[in-house]
Amino acid sequence: MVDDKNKSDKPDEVDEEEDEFAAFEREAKAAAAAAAAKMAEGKKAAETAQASASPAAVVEEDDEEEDEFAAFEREAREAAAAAQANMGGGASGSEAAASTSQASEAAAGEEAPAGDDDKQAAPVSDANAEAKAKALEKSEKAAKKQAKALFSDNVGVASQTILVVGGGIAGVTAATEAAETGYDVILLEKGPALGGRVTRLNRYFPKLCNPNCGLEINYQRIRKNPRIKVMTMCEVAGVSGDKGNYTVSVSKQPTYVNGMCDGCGKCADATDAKVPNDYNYGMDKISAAHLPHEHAYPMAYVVDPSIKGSDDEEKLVAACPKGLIDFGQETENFDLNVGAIIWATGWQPYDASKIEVYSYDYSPDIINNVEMERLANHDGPTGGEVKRPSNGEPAKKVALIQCAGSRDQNHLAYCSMICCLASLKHAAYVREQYPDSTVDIYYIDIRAHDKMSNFYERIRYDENVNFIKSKPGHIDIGEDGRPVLCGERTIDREIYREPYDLVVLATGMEASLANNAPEGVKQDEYGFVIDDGGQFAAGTAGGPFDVALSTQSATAAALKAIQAVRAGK
Amino acid sequence: MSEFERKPCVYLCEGCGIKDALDIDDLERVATMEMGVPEAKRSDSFCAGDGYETLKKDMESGDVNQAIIVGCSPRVMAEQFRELPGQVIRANIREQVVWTQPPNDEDTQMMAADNIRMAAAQAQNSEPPQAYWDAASSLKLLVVGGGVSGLSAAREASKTGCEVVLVEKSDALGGWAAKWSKTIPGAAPYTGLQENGIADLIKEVEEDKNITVHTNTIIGQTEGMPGKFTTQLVNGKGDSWDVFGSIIVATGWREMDTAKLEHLGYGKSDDIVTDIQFEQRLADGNIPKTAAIIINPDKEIQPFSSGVSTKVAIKQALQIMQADPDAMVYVIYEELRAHGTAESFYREAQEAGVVFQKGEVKSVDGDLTVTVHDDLLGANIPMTGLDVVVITTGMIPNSTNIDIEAAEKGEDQLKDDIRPNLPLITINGEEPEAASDDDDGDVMPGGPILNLQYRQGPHIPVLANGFADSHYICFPYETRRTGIYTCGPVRRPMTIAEAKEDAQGAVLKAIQAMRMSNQAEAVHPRVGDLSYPEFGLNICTKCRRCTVECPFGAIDEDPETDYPVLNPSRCRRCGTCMGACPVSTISFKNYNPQMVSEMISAVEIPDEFDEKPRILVMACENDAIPALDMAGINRRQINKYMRVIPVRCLGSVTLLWVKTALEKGYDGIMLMGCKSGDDYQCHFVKGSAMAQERMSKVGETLQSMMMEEERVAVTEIAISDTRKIADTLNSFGETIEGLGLNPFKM
Repeated sequence: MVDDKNKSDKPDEVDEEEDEFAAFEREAKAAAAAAAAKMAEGKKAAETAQASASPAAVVEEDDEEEDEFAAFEREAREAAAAAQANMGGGASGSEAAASTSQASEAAAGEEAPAGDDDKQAAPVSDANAEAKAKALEKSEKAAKKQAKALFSDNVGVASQTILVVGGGIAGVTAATEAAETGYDVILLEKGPALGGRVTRLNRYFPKLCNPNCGLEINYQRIRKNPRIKVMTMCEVAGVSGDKGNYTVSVSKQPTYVNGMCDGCGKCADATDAKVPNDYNYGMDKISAAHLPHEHAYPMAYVVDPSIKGSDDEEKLVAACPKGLIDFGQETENFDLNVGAIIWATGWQPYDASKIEVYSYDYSPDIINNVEMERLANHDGPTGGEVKRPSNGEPAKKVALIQCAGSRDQNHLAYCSMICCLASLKHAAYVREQYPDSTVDIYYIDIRAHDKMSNFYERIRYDENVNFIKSKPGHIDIGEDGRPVLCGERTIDREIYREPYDLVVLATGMEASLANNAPEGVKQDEYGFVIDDGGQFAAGTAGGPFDVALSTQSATAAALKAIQAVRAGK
Repeated sequence: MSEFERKPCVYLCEGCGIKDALDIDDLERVATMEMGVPEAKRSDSFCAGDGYETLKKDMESGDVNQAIIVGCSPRVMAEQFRELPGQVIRANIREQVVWTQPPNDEDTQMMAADNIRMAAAQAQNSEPPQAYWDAASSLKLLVVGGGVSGLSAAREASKTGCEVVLVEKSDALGGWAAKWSKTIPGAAPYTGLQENGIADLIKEVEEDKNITVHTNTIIGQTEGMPGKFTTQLVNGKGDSWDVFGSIIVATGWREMDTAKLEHLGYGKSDDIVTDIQFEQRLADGNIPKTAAIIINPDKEIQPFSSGVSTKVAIKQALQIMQADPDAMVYVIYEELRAHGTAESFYREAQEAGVVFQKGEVKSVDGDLTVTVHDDLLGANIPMTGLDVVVITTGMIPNSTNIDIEAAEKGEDQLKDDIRPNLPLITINGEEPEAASDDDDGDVMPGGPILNLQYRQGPHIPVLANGFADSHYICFPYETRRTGIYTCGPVRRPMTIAEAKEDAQGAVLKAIQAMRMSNQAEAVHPRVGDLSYPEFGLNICTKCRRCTVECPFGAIDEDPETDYPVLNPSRCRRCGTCMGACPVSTISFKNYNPQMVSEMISAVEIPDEFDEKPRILVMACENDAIPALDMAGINRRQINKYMRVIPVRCLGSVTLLWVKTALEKGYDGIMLMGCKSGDDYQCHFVKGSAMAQERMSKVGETLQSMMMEEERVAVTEIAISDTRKIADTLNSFGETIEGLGLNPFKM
């Protein structure tokens, strides 16, 4: 099936054969020149190396001084050999080796550009060398045709452009992976900066590392890649058309900052107005002109709509050195034409107010799991100290309630997958901060999925983390204002009434599009997006996933989208 | 190597508060008069407007080929500058200087001037990288393993226009699935038993013109690198060689050692079976009337079963109920890991009449009596009259080929990389005690899958429990062997539906790697980088440190001459080899020992009477540098004596730089890298660990120079340490001031 493919490549083949010797000559010359340059460089390095007093270096250096010319000759030879070994893929290719053993052959038979390098090889490797050489040669001839079949390399063709909706970890992953495979990508984000839900997490399980670490690498990839166009403040209103030819209507909200904000921060200095800090889920306030957060990409300030029409309007306009602040900005509506769509719209915590028995609305010391992430985060409302929101006292007796809304036909019927692990992580946050703290985890099952059972075991090792099998019946507010958990332990049937400094509800994962999907998207009964051949889900838009599963699914979605737009190639 | 004629120009940005805090005339004088850059231009912004137009015109006309932009951090406005032809070098005087230091202060001015000196030195010692080859030779994909994962990978690659060779060691395609029938639902509504569709998948692959299948074949050896993997295919009929651009390892999983199931009665009766054996019975239509399915709670088994065994138990119970609605099926569990959408499947089984019994299995007897401690009743309940007892098992990843003996003990053995079972919580900053000491990592039995002819051995390195990956949260497909990806249960336990999707992800990465290699560009994480290490063999001492320390096994030794040989497309360009080299003879065109030495030397060291110490900070550009930027964004005051050089990875830091700095008169040196060891965060896996090991020996050097060991410190800084980084630098500054100035000061 493979062998008959080379016929059409005849012209290339001839070219290559003709060029081979010339190319070798050129390469040898380049290698010699390189060697000369290295020589100069090497001398300098040797001088420095002398200072570092490595005995081996000194010996080598002596050699060099004894006979510079011989050294030069040797080096030129070696450089030539190395050049061959290292860069064998170039124009001459077939004999210059890709492998260690071949490199050695090339070094030994330096004068032989083609085919003569087998003189001192043993019979078996002789046969192998020949077979390998043939395989390499054949492969080179096939390469051009393979490239043509694989890559389109078209730029700016709408039918081959992939739209990624959502700039969280899944969207960012899908966008970079598709772009680095040679496709144009438009990445839409409804907020002012990328990073989505994960950039607000304190740490990931099970490594307990900060999410911005991986995001930073992804932002570097985006910064470098002209194939990715990032558009913030944009939401999709509707989709029409079909695979290869979608029309997507987009609405873009104003930030009142035009064009290329350089993040200088003068606008923030110009106003005293404060607004609830969306990044911290409204748990504190922030200047009305602000950077979305310290790790924001793009690093651009935004102005809160509440400033529009206020006394500060003029002050802000005057403060911007580049004159970028413009209160004339309105919501913009426009269409995009694309070939495939990846929905990476993520999730939102299930509204804890709906679980009335848990009194979420009745005590500031009853919070949900994403708020806990902010509470523990160094740039959260408490600077990373887990304190009681009611009075700022350290939260040393903490209850974590699993399945708050999940696995419940009245709320989310499915298991949200991440909450158990997130709670284990929350136990670590508290325990690390306060040696005299206790954490009680109320659970139905600890679903340590994937390779996470080790993580579970590692947390269980701490004696001050207690696992209580029970779904609490309700939460009272005690006379001292502390939340009191009431219920029955499943195993020993003990009734409990236990006060806590802080209660964290492990609220489940609801699809962001569960209640407000744009027209034209296919969804399951829970609101998760279903693939339809031209539109695909990445990450938690498609189901409850953790980060590792989201990035995996996003990478798969990139491939699916590429396959879809290739149809128009 | 090339004859690069440098035409530098300094672009001094005055915007963002820079000109309000600094004397720009002085900076211009430093750039031109002192550092010899022919020209310096000023503007309120070089990122936009007239300033940008000037910059662009200069570079496009060829008048300037090295733009030294003095202003904001390279993390900002990179998109604007990436299109400029030629080298762009950024001197950060905004985040690092103006935002962390008091304005119009002598020390602030000195810091900004030094940053310009360093940037000018960087320009003088660097040049644009060039591709190491015009084109690699292959864009063909090798898939190893003919089960669901491998078949799916082959099909997905073909659908994307890729030629594929699929190698299967047995005589037939289909793997485990071919022996089985029904599967766990993988798509909405996540209920209902489905055919596993394996026969259709095999047919699709066999009829696919892009796919060549070799059964009864294993990989004899694999040489080369991405774009040029030269691979020997071995079968009974004779060996052949083929060349591949990248490789997907989809070797799946194998049964666990059934000796671990004896405490659950395994071996006492033919009707006490594993879930794998029971799967065969179900496929054969051998349906029991009553069954107990025990979800094995053994924590040793859990990492290999994930939630898959729970789903399998549910599926098998449903299969029995569907075949015979009057059957009695008990699923006995301690934790029911029916996570995510499997909840619907669980509910379906409950509704079908499957009895889910929580409790600990106390014993299973040869007469199939299962005694369960019922947690709810608090009593031991015997179950009798069962036709079959099924025990779920784990999926052991085939990271090795169990059919081949490992060649020899030692290097060829595949060891776990990290210790997964250490306690996790650090209380009061104290590391918890290890649960046990034999955490050296298990040696996996069996020979290598690809038999890589790499200096660092024939295996793909694995993490805990033998799963082959590295940064499994953010970048789940990255292995430590460039161009080689794993998918399916060899990567983590997964169901058939999950494996099919996993194959899609792996195919994308494999095609992408071929594309990058073809263009001589680095793959993750320095995507698109053209620079690569060059070896000055004239002073190479053949010490082998570079070949040993490369985290990705990119460097081999020439068996004849013993000199290092780079396989450039394996290389991730971290520079760990450069840091390892004791004679500093490894260099990148735009990042090399001399360049950084010159940057270190370019800083003006005040004499001892000024009483102004200088602290050199060499910081990882992926985490510590962004953290430092963010300290600036938060306007946190940082020690005014620090001078910062970003490094590609702490692994690229050579002892030479430390020594140069001490000799030059720096009073303290701080190295900032990512977390190493178990749960490492280093993007280059081992770079920061290597650096820490190297620097542990720096004490001797300091002693020989009659200096205090405290003058050189290594710290782990995460990207979120935007507060800690300022504190760390400030307290290090105090330590240095306490020690007094470097006695070597001129």
